[in-house]
Amino acid sequence: MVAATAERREATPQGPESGPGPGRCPGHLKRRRQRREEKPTSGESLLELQTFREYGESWYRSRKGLESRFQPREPLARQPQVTAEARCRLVSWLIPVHRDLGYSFEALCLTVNILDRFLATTPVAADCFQLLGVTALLLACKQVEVHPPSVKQLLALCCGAFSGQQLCNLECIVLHKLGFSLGAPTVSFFLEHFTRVRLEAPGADPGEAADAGSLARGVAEISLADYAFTKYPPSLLAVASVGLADRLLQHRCPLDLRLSGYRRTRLRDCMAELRLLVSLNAAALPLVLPAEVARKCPWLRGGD
Amino acid sequence: MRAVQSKFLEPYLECAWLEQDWQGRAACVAGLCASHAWSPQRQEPEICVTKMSTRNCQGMDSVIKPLDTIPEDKKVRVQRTQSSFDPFEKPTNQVKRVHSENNACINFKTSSAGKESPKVRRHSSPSSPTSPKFGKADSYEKLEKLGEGSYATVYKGKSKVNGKLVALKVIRLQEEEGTPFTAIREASLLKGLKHANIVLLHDIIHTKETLTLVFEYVHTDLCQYMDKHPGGLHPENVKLFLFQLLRGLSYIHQRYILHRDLKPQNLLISDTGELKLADFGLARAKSVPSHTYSNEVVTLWYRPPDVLLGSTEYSTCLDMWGVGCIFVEMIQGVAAFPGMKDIQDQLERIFLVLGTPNEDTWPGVHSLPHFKPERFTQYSPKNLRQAWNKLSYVNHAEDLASKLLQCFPKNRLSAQAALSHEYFSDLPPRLWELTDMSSIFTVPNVRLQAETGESMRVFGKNNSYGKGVSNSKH
Repeated sequence: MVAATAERREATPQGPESGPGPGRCPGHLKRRRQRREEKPTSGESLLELQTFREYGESWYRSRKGLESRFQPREPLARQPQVTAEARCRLVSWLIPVHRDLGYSFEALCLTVNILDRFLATTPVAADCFQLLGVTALLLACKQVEVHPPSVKQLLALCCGAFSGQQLCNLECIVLHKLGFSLGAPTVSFFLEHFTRVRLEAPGADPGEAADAGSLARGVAEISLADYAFTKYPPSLLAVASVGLADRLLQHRCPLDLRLSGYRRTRLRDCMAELRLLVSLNAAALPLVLPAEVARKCPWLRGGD
Repeated sequence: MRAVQSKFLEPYLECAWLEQDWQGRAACVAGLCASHAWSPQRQEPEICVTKMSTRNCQGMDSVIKPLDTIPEDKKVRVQRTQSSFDPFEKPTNQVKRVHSENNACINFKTSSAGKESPKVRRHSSPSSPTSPKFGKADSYEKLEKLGEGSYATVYKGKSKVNGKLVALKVIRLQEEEGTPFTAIREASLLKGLKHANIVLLHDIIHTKETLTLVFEYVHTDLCQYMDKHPGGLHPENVKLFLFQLLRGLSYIHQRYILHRDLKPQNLLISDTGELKLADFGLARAKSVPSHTYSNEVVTLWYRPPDVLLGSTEYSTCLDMWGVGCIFVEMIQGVAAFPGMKDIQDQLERIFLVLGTPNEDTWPGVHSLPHFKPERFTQYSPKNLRQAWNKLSYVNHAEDLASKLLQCFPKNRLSAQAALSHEYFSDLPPRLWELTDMSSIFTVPNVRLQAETGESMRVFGKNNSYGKGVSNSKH
């Protein structure tokens, strides 16, 4: 563990020895600061709630039915160069990148899904891995965002290490390898679903539902970076994140985890692993949480 | 390592489209491997995706470029749960890197065995019964042009394999931004949709310059059909078209997808009267609900008032307004709200019939971005038959239209609920029990009536099936 920590510290991507200096890397990202923060579910409009009452169940069933088709199967098992550590670094980088560009959690989840499914089909050289990351981000945003990033913007993010043609070519290859199937069900979808279901239940506590939803989202977000969690289907990850969040926040009316249909042992295993992830990431987690939720997590402090 | 690599090739070989054509595989693999000549005889394929820049790669640390563009306080570094034990640690010296002079890391050009290899990639799913194994791109004969859109040209085509007609939607690939998002959404959404009332995507052909979506050929669309039969369609046909439209919409809405661009041009009509939803270029999965959508989605005539007033909170009811407009247009023979100028004009036309909304009829309307009460004339709501007289000729048609054409989105009928409306009560019950892929015309006595132009007056309230009308003027 100690060795691993040392290695990670070395790997922190701001060391002067790693890559080109700031001079080469003009911070000319056109940032769209007006990130559309997902509204807390409790403040959602009646319209959304009405649509959910009508369609929520069939949305859930249809998305859940797609899970196994979109589940990446051991994406790194046959990769000659890309390691779990490299994947962690890439996704850890994509998290602030997608936030900074103002994209949704949904887009991030899709990015990681595209990345993993592509890795399961094609060997990728280490020095192309970041290019694959931004290509996956581009495709995910083209799929679900109103304003996908420009190729130029993405190239700038990689400090000019790649050319536009390389990115476009890789985009074609990814589309081809994934057969244009990009509409994966995501943790983001299931988190929203379970939160809504919870609000619909009698005696629901909207405050608790919103807090658990936010914390679960943060936990799920950092779990995307950990290869160990690629084995879990997104619906399991979502319900276990909410369950863990409820526990950590000591909620009085937690989500009834049985509604996910998962067996207790499976839920417990996933939650235990998430618990470990949270304890290891007391420093990173607050960065992906809204301030008011982070304040409710005293156990996050001192983890630095 | 060799064993691992050859194992890695299995997925390639599983693809039917590659099996057909060994050269195709060469194109695929070498396409990934720089402009490195790849020959099928070579036993050791190179690592596929490689960057050609010759910057030295010292282990993994230098691989991800530093995040100078992300402020220090926002950097996230996730610690893995199993970092002390990494079963996927790989020695990098096993990897043979491919260097190239032209720095074009991933390109499609390849020369294998001195023969020009195909640059064509295909995406048909071999296992799907609806995606027969066609040959290469040239297995379709391009016939006449059917239409031109902003990002694609549609041709009639013919499969050289089985002689079937297809529609070829040829999308130009942009130099700058890669594959257009419309093409990506259309292909990715349609791949997952299999329904009798949704146009079937047979195949995707990817070349360096174009992306071609191969659809089933459907001979006309509702816009052309209405042009051909002016003055309103046969009421029975209207009912069958509307039923099919709702069936298709209900199917996609249940799957978390909005069409967002409903208009008669996007509803294809086959010669037997089958209606198929097409043009999913603006469709999207209904994901994050509070998401801002682009304001330029629905054609103005079929755009709901909430969107015209600047609401970005779309839901399935977005499509339902368009259904109401199309329903009226099929019955009356003229567009329901043919705005001539701008959004303001479009809204005036709607309010003229449905009444200018206020907080009582539409809670929250005052907080919509473009709602300025002083800008709109105060109209009172009217009966729809006053605006469109032919609605009164058909039982329950006016009621259904008024439930779809609700300014307040929350009041709009959903596709599923509309299918249970009394308007459809004289249709055979078996229509509600069909499987997704079954056409409504598989039910006995359900068939398209000949259009007569004057049909309204003659057959207005007559709902008998099988009563063929053969005095079509067209």
